[in-house]
Amino acid sequence: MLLIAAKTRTETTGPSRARFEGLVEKTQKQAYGLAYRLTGNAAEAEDLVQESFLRAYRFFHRYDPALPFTSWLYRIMTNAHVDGVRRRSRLRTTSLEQAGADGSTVWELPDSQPAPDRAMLDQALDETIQTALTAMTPEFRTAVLLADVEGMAYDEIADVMRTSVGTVRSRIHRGRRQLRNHLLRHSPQAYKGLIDEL
Amino acid sequence: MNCKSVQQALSAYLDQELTGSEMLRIRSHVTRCAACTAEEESLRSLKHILSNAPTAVPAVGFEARLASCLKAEYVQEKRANIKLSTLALVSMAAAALTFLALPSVQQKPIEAPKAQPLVKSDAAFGIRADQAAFSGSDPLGGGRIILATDYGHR
Repeated sequence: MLLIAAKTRTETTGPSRARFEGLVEKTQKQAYGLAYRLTGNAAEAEDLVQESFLRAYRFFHRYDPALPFTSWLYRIMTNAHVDGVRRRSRLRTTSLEQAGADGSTVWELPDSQPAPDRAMLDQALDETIQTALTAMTPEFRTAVLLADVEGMAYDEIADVMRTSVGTVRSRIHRGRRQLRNHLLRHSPQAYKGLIDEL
Repeated sequence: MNCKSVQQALSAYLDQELTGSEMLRIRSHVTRCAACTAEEESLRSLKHILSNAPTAVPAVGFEARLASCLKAEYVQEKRANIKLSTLALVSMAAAALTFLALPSVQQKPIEAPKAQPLVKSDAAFGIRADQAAFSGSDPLGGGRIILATDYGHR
């Protein structure tokens, strides 16, 4: 029993670790891009990337090379993200209830502290889109980002999110409508400007 | 197809995730329906906005911080492995010692306790004539009745 446990812990040493480090170097910036869109700020995005790579390292012996590494990493990342959102949501909802808030949910809270690296993005586009993305249901946001930002097919998204293609299809459709309705309701001028730029 | 079912399938239609016949049916409906055309254009615009959104660039030092985080994990893993290996070795040594010690323990003959007669002689009771006594030498036997046997004096 102990020997098995020791063996499991040593699976990612030697050549496997070198391989893992190569994959980290190759995918870390791309992973950050998705993490930023999922979380909406730099600090949380960096934490999410670190957490995802740590989990990936710990379970690297389970990684099937037949699957693209990014798909496997995104599966870990989206799980970690949804877990984190639910955990924070519970904490914030509790504190809002205690403070006697007017019934607004955590999803409707504006991001009052922009991240320091926002200057690196197109400010108007990023503020408008990112605020709307942050307001989405986490599962919808993940599905929409994987489809539209990462350009993944529905079956790949289903694999990443460990669900059926039918569920992915539904999440993407409902997610896009949720995002569009949020933009029309909260930032109609900015949204119109974005459409006109197309 | 009615507007509701078409609009439910519009995202999959835009992503080309429908079968050929479904794609044709949707296209046929959209070209004839103003409401569905507007919905299709609206979703298409949103998809374009997201697809063309700039990629976030990490802050300076991001790579170094990630490398440092992973390095700390490697060190922790190494320590955990050493602990597990030591524990495994100690367990194996203990098991080996137990295994080696077992035969010497088994070779030692186990001496069965010798039964000691509780009653060596009926005479020890000093039974006199016309006296009877019970002796409880056998707890399962229900007792042994010892009757006086010397009736000579009568």
